[in-house]
Amino acid sequence: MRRLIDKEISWERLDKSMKVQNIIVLSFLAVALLMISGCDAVKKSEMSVHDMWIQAAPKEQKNSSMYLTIQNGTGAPIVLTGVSANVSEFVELHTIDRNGENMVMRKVDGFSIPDQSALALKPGGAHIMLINLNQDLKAEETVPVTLHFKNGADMELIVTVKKMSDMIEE
Amino acid sequence: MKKLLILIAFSFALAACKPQDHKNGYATNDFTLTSTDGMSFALSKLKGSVVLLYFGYTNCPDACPLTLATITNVFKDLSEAEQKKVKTVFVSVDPDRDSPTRLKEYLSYYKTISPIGLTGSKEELQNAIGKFSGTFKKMDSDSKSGYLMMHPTSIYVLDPYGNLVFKFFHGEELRVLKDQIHSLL
Repeated sequence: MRRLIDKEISWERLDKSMKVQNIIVLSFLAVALLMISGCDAVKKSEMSVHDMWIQAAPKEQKNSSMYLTIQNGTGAPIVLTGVSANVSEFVELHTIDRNGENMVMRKVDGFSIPDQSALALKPGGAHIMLINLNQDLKAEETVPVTLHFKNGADMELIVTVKKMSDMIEE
Repeated sequence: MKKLLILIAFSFALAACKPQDHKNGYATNDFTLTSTDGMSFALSKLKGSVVLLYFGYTNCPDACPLTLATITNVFKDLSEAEQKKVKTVFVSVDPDRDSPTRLKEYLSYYKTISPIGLTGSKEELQNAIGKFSGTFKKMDSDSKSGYLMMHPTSIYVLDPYGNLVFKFFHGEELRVLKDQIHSLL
């Protein structure tokens, strides 16, 4: 390796077999570097959404809720600022304020997700509220949903409707 | 005389140590509200049943469905005969929006547990929730759903005599609630 980077040693002085061997090594190095840089790029831009579901509810219930987990591995904080879904008139982000055994929901403008951490929306806590349902939400149906982020990015998802009783501990 | 006084004091101490006075549970904890049929309904009407009492409201999209789903899952563990001995009571603390009709519509979705829906005036509701040291409050909000309600998230478990014997909080293992109910059946 030293031979390859040593400017005093010219390529001409290397015998042919040595040249071939070093070219192969260099090629491997180049490919490895590309792969490493490629992996790094993937890792830095990685954001995954999983465990997403919408609570089944007939239209008459008026409201429902959606839950998900967003894993942020992008290398920077991200902020979920809104959600669009055509199954309800409005969609809002809500958190829960607790005071002893009492609780109250509170509308928020966004959920911040620091780098290398996750936002987990689960029953009994922060959630996405679907207000004034336009239709019945039947279990196992799917709903197109778009997540909106502060940096202007949108993410389109297909979310399955589930019965609340099937999604909590039995 | 001294011995008699000691005996009386001992009797009082024993009485105080009794876990609950089963004969007076509903005498203390009873309340009357309006059912989903618009009729007057006294909680003591459920004497003899284990009562799972919850104070919520129909515009609540998370904690209230979670509670009703939790009770639904408890019911799956009960025999048909046992299910008949457990009554779910959902009291709406949002009388301005939750009419008896609206409450009936909301609760009809939970067929497995057939909750009894009750509501009333603000004063009647304060009296009812006050029996269990609970509170509720209307909170202003910029939500499109309108104002939001602060309310207890726990399920109050009453024994067949009307005594509050247990509070089940969100996040607790469901087994805890199941065990409690089984112990009262």
